[in-house]
Amino acid sequence: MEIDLKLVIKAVVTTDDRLVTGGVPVFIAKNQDEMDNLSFTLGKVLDGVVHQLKNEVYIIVSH
Amino acid sequence: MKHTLPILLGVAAGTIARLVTLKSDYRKYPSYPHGYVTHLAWGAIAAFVGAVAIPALIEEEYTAVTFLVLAAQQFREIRSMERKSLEQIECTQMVKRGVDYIEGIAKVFEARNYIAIAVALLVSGVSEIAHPMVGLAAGAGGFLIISNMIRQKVIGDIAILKKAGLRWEGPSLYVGDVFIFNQGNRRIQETIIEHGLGLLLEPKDDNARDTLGSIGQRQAIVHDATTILGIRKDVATPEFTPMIRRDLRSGKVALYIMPMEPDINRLLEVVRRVPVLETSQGMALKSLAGRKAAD
Repeated sequence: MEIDLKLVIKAVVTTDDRLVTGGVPVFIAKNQDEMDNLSFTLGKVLDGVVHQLKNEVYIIVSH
Repeated sequence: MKHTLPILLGVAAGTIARLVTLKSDYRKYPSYPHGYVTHLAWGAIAAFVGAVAIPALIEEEYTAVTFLVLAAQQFREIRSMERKSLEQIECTQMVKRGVDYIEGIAKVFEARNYIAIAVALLVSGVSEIAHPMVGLAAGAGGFLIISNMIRQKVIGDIAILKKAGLRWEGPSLYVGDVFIFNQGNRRIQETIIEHGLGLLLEPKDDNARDTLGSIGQRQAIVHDATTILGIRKDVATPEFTPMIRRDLRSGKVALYIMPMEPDINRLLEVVRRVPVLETSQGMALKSLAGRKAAD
């Protein structure tokens, strides 16, 4: 069964736009608090789980 | 008619046997009251089939025995019927039962009709030969013996249950020392610490280790726990989905759950009483190679 990563990762939230190049919607936050708020809202809207790859990068994933 | 009393006693005993085994307990199946009526009716039919078998043989109506074969075919349909009903409502469940648990429930409902046949057959058969009271006693004894034989093991029989705390290491949630999942949002992390519960299940032997490793068994544990304690979850909150994860070094499993009733002692009781599914049972120690490989 092939899994297309683009269909699984719904969005990315980051404070550093150099870390993510595209393919999915990317939201740039000014700081950690804004990252938390953005990722929380996106998680609810997209019905996904907010996973943390690095301190600066959250991905919203559909399971 | 000379066989009337044994047949009536057999039908009554078989139906009562089915009634006793028919309980709408916390597992929510069958649904009250329509499911009750359906299963009771099937139980009465099963009792009638069992009750007439011996009198038919006594009257040398040997073709009547073929009814037993036809009845067995019909009761297999019951298993399919239950399986389809439960599968259809799976998509509406906040926490699903899983295929294994559904199959186990379907098999149990089929088997309970066979118990009704057996009890009715015993009561009518012994009543033909001896006094009807002896027949009833034989039926009661037979019911107790069969019930004991098919009694399912529960999780408390195969595993040691321990309370365990939830903790975050960065974005990683742990129950005890078992990794559960990664979740980066701090607000959600705080909510999970505030309302979540954790449990460790340590297998008592290699068979138990494989049983607890089975996805179907783990899904059954999660389903039963959330049915009793409620689930603090909605459609758009996948991070609150209860999970069981396995420690690959020891084979123990850890349960993470966000219940409406945050009572760890009740959670322990509920998980202890979860049935061990037939299709999930580990068989490592049943073979010579498995026993030799065991620690």
